[in-house]
Amino acid sequence: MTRGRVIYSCPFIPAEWVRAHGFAPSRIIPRLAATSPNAGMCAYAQAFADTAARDEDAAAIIVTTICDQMRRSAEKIAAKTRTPVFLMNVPHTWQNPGSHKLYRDEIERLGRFFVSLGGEPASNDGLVRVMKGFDEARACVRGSRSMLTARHYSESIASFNHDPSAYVGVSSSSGPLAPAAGAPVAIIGGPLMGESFVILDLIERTGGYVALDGTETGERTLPAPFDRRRLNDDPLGTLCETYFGGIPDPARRPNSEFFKWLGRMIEERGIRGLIVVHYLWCDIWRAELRRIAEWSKLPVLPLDAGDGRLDPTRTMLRLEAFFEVTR
Amino acid sequence: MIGQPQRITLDEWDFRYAELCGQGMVEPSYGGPLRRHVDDGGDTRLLRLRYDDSAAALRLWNFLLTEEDRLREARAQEKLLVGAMKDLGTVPVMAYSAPNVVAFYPDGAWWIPCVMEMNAGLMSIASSLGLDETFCPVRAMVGAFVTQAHFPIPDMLTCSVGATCDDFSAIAQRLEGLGHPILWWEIPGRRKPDPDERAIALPGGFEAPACQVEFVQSELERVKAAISDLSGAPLGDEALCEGIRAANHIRRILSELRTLAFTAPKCPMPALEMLIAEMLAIHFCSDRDEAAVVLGELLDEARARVEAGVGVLGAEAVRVFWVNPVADLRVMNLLEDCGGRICGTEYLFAHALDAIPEDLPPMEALARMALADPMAGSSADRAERAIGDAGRFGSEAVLISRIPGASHCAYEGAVIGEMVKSRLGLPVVEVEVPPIADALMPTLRTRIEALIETVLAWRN
Repeated sequence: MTRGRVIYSCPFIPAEWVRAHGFAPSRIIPRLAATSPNAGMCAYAQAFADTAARDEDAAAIIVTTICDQMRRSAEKIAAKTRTPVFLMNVPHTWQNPGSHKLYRDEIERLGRFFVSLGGEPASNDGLVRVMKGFDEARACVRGSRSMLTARHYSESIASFNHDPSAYVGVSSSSGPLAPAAGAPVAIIGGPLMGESFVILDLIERTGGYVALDGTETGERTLPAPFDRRRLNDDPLGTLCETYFGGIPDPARRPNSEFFKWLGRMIEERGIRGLIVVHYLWCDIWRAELRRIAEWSKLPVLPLDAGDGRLDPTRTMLRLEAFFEVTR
Repeated sequence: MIGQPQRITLDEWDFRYAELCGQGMVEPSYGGPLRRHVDDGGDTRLLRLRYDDSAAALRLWNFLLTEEDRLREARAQEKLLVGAMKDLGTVPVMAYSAPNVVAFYPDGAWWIPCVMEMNAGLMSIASSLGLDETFCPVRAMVGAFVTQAHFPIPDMLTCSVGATCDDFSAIAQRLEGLGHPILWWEIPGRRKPDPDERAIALPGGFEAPACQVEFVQSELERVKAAISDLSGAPLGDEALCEGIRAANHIRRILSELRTLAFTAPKCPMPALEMLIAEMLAIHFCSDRDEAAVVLGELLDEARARVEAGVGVLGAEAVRVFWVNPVADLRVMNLLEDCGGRICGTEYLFAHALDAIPEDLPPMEALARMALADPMAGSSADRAERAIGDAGRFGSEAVLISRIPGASHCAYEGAVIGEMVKSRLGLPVVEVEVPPIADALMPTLRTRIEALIETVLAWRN
């Protein structure tokens, strides 16, 4: 039994912290908004705001400041719902201890917010238990990569994030798929919406093989396994370090760690091309497109998700052309 | 005896300049006729603007339009240059407290495409680097770094991040990717203190929890250490206090100027010159002492006009509160051409107009000021401040000018507009102003005229 679902979108919200306070963490994948967003408004931010505000079962909604549009969405959501909305500061800087302390202070403030909603204070033992459970479940999800199609793998990550507790104690029993054919590529970018997961099928249908889902909804934002030597002594410190100190994101300043991570993944997985999915008004990703191409020296295909609707025919044609170049 | 002030064209300024010289006008070293900025500097937009006809306004324009020369001269004199990005009014106060350091505001390059009517090619360069028109016009700054034709590459670059617009953060990161190292410092999203937290009053009337002030102070300590390293001399409290006093001197002049310009029965200083004057308070246009002199002269001129009961506009002009700075300066003229006058502004840096507390340790005072940034809080906070100022200055209407592509503009206009309407009952119009708005002038004119006519109908 939980005290209700806590919904959010930002990968820097530790699901373990939500669960340790007695709530069910749910990192949702919003559906496309019924109406087109206003000019200048990111389609994802609008879709999240609409989906969150309409969710009458949620016990709370958490929004973070990692992106300006999402920060501003918190106000929009709060105006449309009676569900408590918590805006958490996630520092953009990371190279000095003050930023790490601010993140931890904000996590503790989030904990007090949960308690104010009737949650239980997180005990060290309880937090360690949840962290171990989620860590193992996450390892299981990671381990399933060779057994699933790209789309199923990404959907299973999304599904785990949507309800991590459901994965605790479950192991995968299927065997590996046949070795993948096609040019190994990475898809990177912001979060995918429910409708956009089809892109993973389209890549494989047009001659590619998704060797890495580096979108915000994919592998990139899965926190690394916890340091088991530290876990029992300092679970909250371990949690903060693993999330804030470990998840690579282009919104960090500087965002050098994102490029280091991408370089490592390109080498490890033999990636030969990059597909970057971005929304029309997402400055964070759009500003990096040219740099990613210059830096990686790989063929890069930007896929503009515009207002959230990826046109399948146009996308197919672009992908086909891209794979002709990549081969 | 003061004459009837007027808004005049550049052609008219040629005659006016000769007239003022004939009257014995004494100019500073950067003085001269405005036309030379078109002929020698390529600032062709000046041909389309209307200006105040005073010697004080001439000095203001010459001061603004010679900043590039000043920066090159500072470099030649081996002064150290600090480019303070996205930081509206904090790091320059610190930098000018250090010996041999000059701070400037690279973001100011956002007006180059307007002033040079796109001839500098900065937007094209930005686009070629992946920063297209979906970004705020401040992307011109990247072009200015590439061409190095508008300011020398600074010895140190700082940029505030956190609760800032994504456009600027992304553009600055792109700049760093091009090989310009940046000292990033964080301003978290300002929030209301929880009941169990110590609340700290900020300049401008907001509150923040003590822990946020302490955090920003620690971030500014990093900037201070970097400036000290750069200048080779520790930046002590005494120098910072002196720097704060000097900044407050400028802010006090500007405050009096704004109050006069916004509340006098007849507007004593046009909207365009007032916009430039406000901008000087953020970064002093690369010469803090001269900025005080320039603003002081403008204030003297406004005072004399108010005392004489004259103004650049009639007493019937509709009193408009303006939200956000415009990328095209010509639109400030347009408001007056349509029968309006500026009575209150929120150009994204209201906090840089407030006095910095002088009764606190200087770094804490600066942290409080930085955290009071209207952009660091919610749109509702920003609206609160605008509502307070609009009421104080007797504004009759509110005009929100969106900045094309800016991440905040898609959200806050609606919030500010709704709050203004429900709390003050004032009419509100939103417009979008690109760097060259000529093609949109008929639309902009129609929308502004509708706002003015609404107020006039209410008056009757």
